[in-house]
Amino acid sequence: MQQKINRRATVIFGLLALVTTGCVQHESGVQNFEEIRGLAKKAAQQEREKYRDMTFEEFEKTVYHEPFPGGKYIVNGDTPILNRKQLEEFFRSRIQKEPEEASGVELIVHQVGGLDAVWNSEQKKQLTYCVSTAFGSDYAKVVADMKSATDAWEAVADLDFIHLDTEDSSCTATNGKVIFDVRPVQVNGEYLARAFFPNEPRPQRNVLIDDSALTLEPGENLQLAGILRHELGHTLGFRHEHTRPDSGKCFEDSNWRPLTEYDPFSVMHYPQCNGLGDWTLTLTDEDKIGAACLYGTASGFLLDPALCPGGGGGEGPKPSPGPALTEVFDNQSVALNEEKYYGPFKVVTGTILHVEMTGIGESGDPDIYVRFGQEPMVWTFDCRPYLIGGDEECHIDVPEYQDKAFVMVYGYRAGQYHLQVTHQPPGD
Amino acid sequence: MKAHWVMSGTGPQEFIWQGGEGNHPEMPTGFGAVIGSQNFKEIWWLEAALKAARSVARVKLPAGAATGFLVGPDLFMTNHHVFENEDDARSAILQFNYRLSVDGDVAERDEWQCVPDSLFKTNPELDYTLVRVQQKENRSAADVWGFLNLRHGAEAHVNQRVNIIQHPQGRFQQIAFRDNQVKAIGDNFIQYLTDTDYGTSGSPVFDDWFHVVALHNMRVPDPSEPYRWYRNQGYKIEAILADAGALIPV
Repeated sequence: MQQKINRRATVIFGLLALVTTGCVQHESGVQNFEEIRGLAKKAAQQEREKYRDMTFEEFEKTVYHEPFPGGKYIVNGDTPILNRKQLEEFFRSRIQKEPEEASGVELIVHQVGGLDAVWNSEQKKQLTYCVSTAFGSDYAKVVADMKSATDAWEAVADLDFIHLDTEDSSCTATNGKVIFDVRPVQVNGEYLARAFFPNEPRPQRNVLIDDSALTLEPGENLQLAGILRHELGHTLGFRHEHTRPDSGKCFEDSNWRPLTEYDPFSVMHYPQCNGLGDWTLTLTDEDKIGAACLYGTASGFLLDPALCPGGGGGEGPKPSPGPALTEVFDNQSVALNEEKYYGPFKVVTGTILHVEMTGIGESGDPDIYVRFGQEPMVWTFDCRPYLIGGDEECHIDVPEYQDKAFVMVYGYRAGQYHLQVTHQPPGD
Repeated sequence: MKAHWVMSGTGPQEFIWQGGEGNHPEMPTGFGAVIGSQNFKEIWWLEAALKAARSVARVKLPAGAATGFLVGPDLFMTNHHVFENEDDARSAILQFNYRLSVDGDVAERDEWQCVPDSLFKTNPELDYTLVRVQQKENRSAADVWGFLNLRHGAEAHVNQRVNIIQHPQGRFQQIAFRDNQVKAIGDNFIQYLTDTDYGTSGSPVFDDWFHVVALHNMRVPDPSEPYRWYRNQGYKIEAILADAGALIPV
């Protein structure tokens, strides 16, 4: 426990040092965001340079890997990376390569390819979860703090988190009756808690809470409810507001897009890696706007659409969707590095596109790529699960102004698969 | 003289109040007007754009995509940073007619390959590469798709509009032809406002007669505002012609 407390103290001390030295304080406690952003950028570059000349295998050894089946790699304090394949891509594209300049504004949402990794319009209304009874004497507290955290997001965005307490006694990663599980973990303070992004498959959709987050000093600003507000932000697709790499292994990342102006007190600032907030991790006005822009507004929450990216504009006429069509491509195969294209599939804005691949036998490692309007490529796509093996799916809303979707299967390794595409073309 | 509205000039027409005191009567209605700069184009302009577009191909690479175009019967041009060496050219597929048709369907593409063993010339300073395209059934790529004659003698000048036919982000073929003035001219390059994106590298930059006046190769940061791109840039075709010499047909 001493080790955990020291670790946290170091992080928080680092934060205070930044805020109180070198900058004249604002009323908000921060004077010059541009200056701080510049410092963060420089520090992140220095951090990346430490790792840039490593081989991937050397880099992998420096990254914390959860020591249990299905464990994720953890970067940027509490950002989970699903598997070794994705970690290698992170290393090649985020460490070895200079990141694209960000525009300097955030609340930022995770992007896979070009499209936000978010819940679709059906999924967002049934975000069921269980809370493991393995929390023991902390169980009631975790249930209450999850309720408090989900209430905070539901108050502003059109979302519905549902606690299925009937599943709490069998609340495991394989429980298919819930969208995600909330379980205790022992990682010796490597993180306080970690979550998942919406594009991850069920076994990896867990909110894991370390013992260190259950033993916080009462009266301190940093409490479990705030940590869960932050982690639920990840489960909705939000990334860190602003990675600040003074705690090590925190790298700036270009895989996001800003939803709001820069907000130094955002709930998506976080003690492990970054931040300027006061650690209560409450939703600021900017957080609320960002969430409402992405998922629609909760009943009773007023939002000026002009505040949303691309908001405030009129909508063109949309065709009405016809009945759903399912197109099946059985017994397909793809060679190593081969690209196989399917489509275009006609779609209508606001409907759901469902692309499902099922591996055959020892299926190898085919990957599905989906892109609206254009053929996907290995570096440009709107959905790409990027899992190991042949079972993958994309279940996504058709965005504005899109009338066709393309699917590609790429041979990360050679593989065999069935492919099924369900889409709604325009009606007559 | 009786007070009245008169038409003025032979160019963009304006009505001018002539003579008289007091309130002007209502201005004549029912006529068109040029608002700001004149935007008329002869209808052949669209035909010329479509003809030029035939010779522009998407360059499909193992890990990415770019643009290039035919400049002779078997001769293809793109950027040096697209084909740095012969292996890059060998690994590429040149995809002509990679576009959507007017009804929104995907047009049938036509794919060709490079034979750098036969001809490969590259210049990193002017960021261009020329490479031979392999014939198919004794037909050259230009027999099917035509080529863009670079020996037209036209040059770009400041405030001229330049258009770019391209495959930004590897997309189906696009043309950028709005907000497209040339803003600066250097010894070997021009800078313009025409939109580009990743994947535009190697695109032809056309004047309004669809002469290729530059080879697009990069975006340019704003010197007064870091992290903002404010212009795009390409090397002048005349500079490339001077360097490539007789390789490019007359």
